[in-house]
Amino acid sequence: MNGNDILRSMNGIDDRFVISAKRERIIKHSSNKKILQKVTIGIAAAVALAIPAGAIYTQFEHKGAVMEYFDEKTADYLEDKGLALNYVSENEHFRITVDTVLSDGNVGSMVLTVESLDSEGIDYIGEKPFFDMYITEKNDVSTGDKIFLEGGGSIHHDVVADTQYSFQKDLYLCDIDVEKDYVMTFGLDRRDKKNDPELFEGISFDISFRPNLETKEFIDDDGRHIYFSQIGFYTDEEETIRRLNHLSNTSGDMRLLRKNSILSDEIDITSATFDRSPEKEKPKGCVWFSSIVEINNYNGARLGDMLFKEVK
Amino acid sequence: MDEFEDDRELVELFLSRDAAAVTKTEKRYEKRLIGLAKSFLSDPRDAEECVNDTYLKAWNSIPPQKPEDLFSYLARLCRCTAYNIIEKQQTAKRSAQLVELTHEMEECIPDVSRSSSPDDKFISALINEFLDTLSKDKCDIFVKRYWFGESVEEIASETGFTASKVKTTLHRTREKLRKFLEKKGVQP
Repeated sequence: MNGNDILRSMNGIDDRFVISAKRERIIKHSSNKKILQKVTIGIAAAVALAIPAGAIYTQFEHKGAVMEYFDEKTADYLEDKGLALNYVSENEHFRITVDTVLSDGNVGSMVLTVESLDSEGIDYIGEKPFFDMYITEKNDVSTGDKIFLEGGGSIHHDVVADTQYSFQKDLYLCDIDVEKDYVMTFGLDRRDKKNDPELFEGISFDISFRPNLETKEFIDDDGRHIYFSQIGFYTDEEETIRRLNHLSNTSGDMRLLRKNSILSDEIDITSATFDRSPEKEKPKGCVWFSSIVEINNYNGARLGDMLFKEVK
Repeated sequence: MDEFEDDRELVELFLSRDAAAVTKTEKRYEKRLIGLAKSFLSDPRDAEECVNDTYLKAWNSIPPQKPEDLFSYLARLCRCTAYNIIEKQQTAKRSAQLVELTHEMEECIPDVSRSSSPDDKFISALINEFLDTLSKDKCDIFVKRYWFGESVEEIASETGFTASKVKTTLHRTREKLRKFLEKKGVQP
């Protein structure tokens, strides 16, 4: 077999590939970064407000990525709710898409897709795909502090391609004022020794973390509160956090109690933080679910031996 | 009227055996078909012959064929005809573009060597399977290069990507294809 055999064999590829490639798709890559930023801000400002009922249905540009971190049902749900954001910002090295931002005011989740646009971008992606994310209050961009967006997340290697990958970031929204508007920028991983501060220059997003999900407050007999939403739950109460830390997250120790029923559903989680460090201002217990939960179907939660009921 | 509607009208002319079908098709698609043929054939006369054969084959095959996308159908006929010309004229000089494309495709040959060579249909099926694993952008770039025979600069201009990105994408995709064929047990 030789190269010509492969070229000749391509005579037999399906029509859909030929038709797709035949269509010209002109992407205007502006060399003026300011213009790109303005466009992004315009789009973001229009959609960053709380999503009203009957929001415009938009499909995800990178639905596969969203499905990797949640599931297909969640991805479909988010599209229906107008939460497929597809915000784009780019410079000569990268195009970053904020696929979705989910917030319950305390915990949040973001899915992003990064595409490299030149050899420098490819080199970076090939070596070390994680990078730092910062937010600055929008009204204070020139002088305001950059807040490092803490939070773990995951890169799903199945969607890592040579020039594109997606990753999901858990957000500790309990640490910031979610009623403010922010500008989000990027930087190299703080552990990175490479000194190339311009790699992400020009890429920024107007971003909001205002709650866009259903939430419920639960309370136990000792008056301890816990806040549930469609993507996770949060508490800042030390004793609750201490006891949660001892629970296994795989043995059905956490269950949501269905309304008007004796049945309950196991809570499936992907990550959790139970932080009672004395140096922190307040303790923090954050849990992220593996897929969207219809929280309105539940009126209570059993977490180990703790029983929480909905606050009416 | 968009291209799709124009194509439907043209296909209707073929179906109703109206001779205007060929002249109108020629007027609409000649430049693109000649460009495609020239990607594979160095002699402009061969490219012209190839395109004329394409129209004849289209006339003889529609009906019963009723292509949804006329240009893709014609392009496929043209590409196959070009290859037939190359193989018939064994001493025919291949176009520089075809030599370049062939050379690039050599990178996709798996390393392991055995005796027999797989047939075209088998490789076509595998390539279809491979293309399904690619993102739309990568797939389009690969097909533009190795099916339509377009240059890197042409692809960059059509897609808006930089030439550097197109080259790198092609290089990486060829490497992926090589690994894919290896995994599928294709022998060189």
